[in-house]
Amino acid sequence: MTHEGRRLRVCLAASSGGHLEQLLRFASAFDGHEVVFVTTQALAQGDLTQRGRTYVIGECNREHPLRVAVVFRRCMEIARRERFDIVASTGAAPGLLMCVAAKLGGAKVIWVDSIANVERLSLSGRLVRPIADLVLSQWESVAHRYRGVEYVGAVI
Amino acid sequence: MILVTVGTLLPFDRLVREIDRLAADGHFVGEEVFVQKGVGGYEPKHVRWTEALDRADFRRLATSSRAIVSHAGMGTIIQALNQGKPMLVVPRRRHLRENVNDHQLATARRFEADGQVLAAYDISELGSKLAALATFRPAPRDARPDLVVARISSFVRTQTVRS
Repeated sequence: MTHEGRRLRVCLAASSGGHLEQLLRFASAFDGHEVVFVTTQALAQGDLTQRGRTYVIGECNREHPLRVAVVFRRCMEIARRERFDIVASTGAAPGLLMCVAAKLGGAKVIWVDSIANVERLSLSGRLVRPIADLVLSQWESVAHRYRGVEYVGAVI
Repeated sequence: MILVTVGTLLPFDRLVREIDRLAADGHFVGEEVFVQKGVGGYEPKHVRWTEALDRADFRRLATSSRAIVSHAGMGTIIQALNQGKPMLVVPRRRHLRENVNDHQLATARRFEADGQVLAAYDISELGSKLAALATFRPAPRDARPDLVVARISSFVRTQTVRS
């Protein structure tokens, strides 16, 4: 028996700015499901909160390992509380951390690499690949470089 | 109005300073310039500025602008392309500690090659590229968000039959 009507809890995670703009361009793929947003700056929170619960986890990048640890801990707390079925992210590092945390909680991982990465996958994209269930690049030439990475089009 | 924006994450005083210098030199006579300067320490003296803009304010300012000058961040490029605004990008450079890597360089080159933005790779080119921006019109893009939505929707459907 199928459960076509089952409502999933979906985590949409992206850094404020370009990553979030791109994420919102395919967010309609999750219509009918419960979406929870995770972003990095309160500034970006504004109109998201009307669409779903929104968590602000702060910024981090590879240059500051301590910040990475702090942000990852927040991701783990969110994942434990929300028990996501799916996590979808466009990056950057905080999006990757949210993917890892949700995956540890049993979620499927969708990664759409930012269109800014025109020559190869972002570092976050390369790191998330082994645990991701669907990886899309927005450049055909980039997708061709990696087994299992798909190209169907660009969101912008 | 020309909107200058550098994002909110890392300083980009190289661009902010040069805009201010050009303004002091009378480059923008009769044209308003508004700078979102980000977290850099340099405060412009010859143009109006703010440190950060939320999404709504940013969109409003972008809409009312004639052209956008920006770091090569995708957030701004997306906004500009959406609205068909002429755009000049200055890529952040890693060796100047403006970013954690040089991906903005590749982004700028790619979107420039596709005719969608103008790019200044050396800050000394900013004045001449600004002049070119006056007549620049971005090429249309062949974006297919619908195909991305369709691919992800089909993946999501495979999950609803689980358990």
